[in-house]
Amino acid sequence: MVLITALQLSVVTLMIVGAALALGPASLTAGQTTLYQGEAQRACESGAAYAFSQLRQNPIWRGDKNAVTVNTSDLFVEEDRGNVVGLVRTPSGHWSQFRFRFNFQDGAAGGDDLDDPVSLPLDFTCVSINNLQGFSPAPAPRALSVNSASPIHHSVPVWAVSLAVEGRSGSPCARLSPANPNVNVPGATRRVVEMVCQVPDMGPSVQESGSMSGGDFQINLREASGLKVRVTSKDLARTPRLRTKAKATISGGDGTQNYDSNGGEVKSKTSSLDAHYDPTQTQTGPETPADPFYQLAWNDVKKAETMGPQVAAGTYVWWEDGSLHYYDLPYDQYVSFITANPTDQGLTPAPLPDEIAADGDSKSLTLKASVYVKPTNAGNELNVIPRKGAPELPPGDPDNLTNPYMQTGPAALAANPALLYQFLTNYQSAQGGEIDFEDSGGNGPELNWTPGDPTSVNFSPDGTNYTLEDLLTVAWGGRMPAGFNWDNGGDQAPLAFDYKLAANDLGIREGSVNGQIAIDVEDGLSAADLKVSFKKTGGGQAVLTSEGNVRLTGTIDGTGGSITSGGNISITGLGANFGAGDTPAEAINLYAKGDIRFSSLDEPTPGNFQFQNVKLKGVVYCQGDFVARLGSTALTGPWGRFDLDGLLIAYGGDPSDLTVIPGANGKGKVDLRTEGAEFVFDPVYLGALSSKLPLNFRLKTLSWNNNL
Amino acid sequence: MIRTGGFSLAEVMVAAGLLAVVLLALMGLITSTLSINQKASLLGPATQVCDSLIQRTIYQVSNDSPAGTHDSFWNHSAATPWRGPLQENIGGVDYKYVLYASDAKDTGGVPLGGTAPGNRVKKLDLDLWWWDRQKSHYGRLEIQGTRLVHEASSF
Repeated sequence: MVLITALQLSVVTLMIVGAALALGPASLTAGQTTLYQGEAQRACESGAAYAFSQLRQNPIWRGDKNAVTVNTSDLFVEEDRGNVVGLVRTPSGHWSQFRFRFNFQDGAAGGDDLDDPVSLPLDFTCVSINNLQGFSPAPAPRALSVNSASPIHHSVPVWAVSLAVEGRSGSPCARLSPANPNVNVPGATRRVVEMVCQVPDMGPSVQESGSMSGGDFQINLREASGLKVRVTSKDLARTPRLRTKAKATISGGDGTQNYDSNGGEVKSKTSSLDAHYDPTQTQTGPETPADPFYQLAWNDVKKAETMGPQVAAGTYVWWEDGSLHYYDLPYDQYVSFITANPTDQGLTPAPLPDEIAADGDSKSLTLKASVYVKPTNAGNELNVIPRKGAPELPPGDPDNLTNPYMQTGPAALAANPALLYQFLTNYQSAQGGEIDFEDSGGNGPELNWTPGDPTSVNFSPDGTNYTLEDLLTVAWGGRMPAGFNWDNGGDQAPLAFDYKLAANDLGIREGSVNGQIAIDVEDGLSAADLKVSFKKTGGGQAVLTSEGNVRLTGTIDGTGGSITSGGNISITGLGANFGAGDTPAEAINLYAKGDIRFSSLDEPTPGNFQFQNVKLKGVVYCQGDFVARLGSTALTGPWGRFDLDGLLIAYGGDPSDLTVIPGANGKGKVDLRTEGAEFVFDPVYLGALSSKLPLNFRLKTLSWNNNL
Repeated sequence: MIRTGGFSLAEVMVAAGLLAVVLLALMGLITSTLSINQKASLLGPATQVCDSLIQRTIYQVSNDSPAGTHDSFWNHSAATPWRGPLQENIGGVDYKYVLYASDAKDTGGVPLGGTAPGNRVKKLDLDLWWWDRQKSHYGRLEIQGTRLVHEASSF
């Protein structure tokens, strides 16, 4: 009996002891787990704080500094090709860890454009996506190694970043240290936070496109040309697209398909494409005025430093003997001046900074660094031309003005007051002594004179940029500048007159084709003999910046080159092979507040013309028209080809004004005449168009998920 | 001599002694278990208090509430506490805490986040301790919380 009692008592005692031993530590462990979960959560938030501080410094940051970035006694962070691991030490001395990855871990040539991490591969399936500089939503996949079949968890909107941070804490994390920040810690308490944050108030997103034009998009191929207009995308996952606020037209070719864009799309005002194309391959859709274009304001364009190397504005003229002559005159005034003084030598050798090398043998100029065009009496234009200019089109081209005196008449009149008075009194006196046109604001150039008083001729620019020569060009039968009309205060248009008779009376000689300078000197130099190269010493980008027009003649070549102009850019010559740099910061190839014009006309022997190819790379952006004349109906032979690897935007307005609809200024036309054209949309350059992210932008949380 | 039953005095004393030892051990174990349970039951709420204090601090810094909190936090660079010791009674427990705000610098000694306005990063440390109301034998209990804080982020 006693034994039985003692046995029962022992059993009960053992049960109590066992329960106490089991429950005591378990409840303590539960409390510690709660503690560690809090630490893991805060580790996640620490990782997010680190990431956001980096993103605000560099909106394209993706954890790709490939170095230990922080290494203090209580904080350690390492970045390895998109993967980031950090350690945070608590005051009690133990580490907690955060980890996140932008790397798809899909090899060197994968979809993330990152090599695989070397030291910090992460066994963590949530991938972070930086789409702050994006122009379309980006998928956020879930996989250890992302491929095309990987599941997409969510879509990251534009101007947003999706950040998935894993935090780990607990006693197993004692194995972590700055020397081993990413070792396995089985049993650690783990939390995951995924947040999507966006820069607020950025307006509507832009539908990406390789070409955007505020006006017509028109390409005229040579009749019988076997080549096409091809539009593709370097990133096969992105749609090769053309967008125009007006019409899209491809004409010419050999009668077969002249537009080829497999999987592509054309968006136009009429939802149509006027071309020979395969509608099963290329879709069409509507483009409305409200659909935004990439907006790149002049102030946001990377330019040469105004206080850096400078070259004086004016006209630089190569002579056949290899000498370079400088005239402190804008192009139009130079033409007038040299027409009247054909043997004037100007200033020679031309004053050039050390950063521009001139070689008289090859008639070449080489920019070895970024150069700013310093304003002078000539204004802020930069012109580089051969002595007798360079024709932009061959004789007989319908684009040449029909009035054969157009090239010489206005300039001759503007440069000679006596001749101007004679012209006005003999041929324009019926106007009551006034030629006047104005814009919608009532401003416009005005010419007044008093018959009988040769000293009375008076020109008023009225706050516009139009010169006396511009006004006289209209008087000689030219076109009214865009946006202007005759002053509606009276009948003040110039009289129509017999320009041949007038030219004969005034002693004005017949003009040449566009770009040619008709001077009576012997000089056989043509555009084909000249060259302008962009080769920055030590690599990087060489930027040529002018607040005014830039007119370059000759072959243009170089990689990492950029021309930014506050006026028009005109490139005439043998052709171009001109590319921007490979990074978003160096992506601008050409930027003009006005028009960009190319003519690749070559005149290898006098009177024999042919066109050369133009190949551009990077972002080509103008606020006016983009016109490339790589062919002429006056020439039957093969024309030149046009190739663009990047983006072309002819905005047709000032993109800094968010209220301006593209094409509102009547411009924004893309107009090519070519043997064939290839547009390769390269999204790598989109980053250059994202400079509109405000400085010190803030991120607004769109979503926040805990413990995925 | 015939034994009629019962235990000798020696047997009873040995048995009583053994029983006393067992009971004492059992009581000690139960006391210890109760103590651990008590500690665990306090750790959970304290962890929540720790979280709440950190979140509240970040909110006050982010929203400059009360006025001056933002600048006080971001301009604090000494190793001394930024705030504290402070005391809060939550759930009947008197919690005391100290807040530290230390600069986070990169390997070049440059403040993390650079010099851009609103982009600073600091390490916020909270040291939280409390005593059990019964002043149990384990005495003062203490936990810590730490995290990075980004000036332009409100989380």
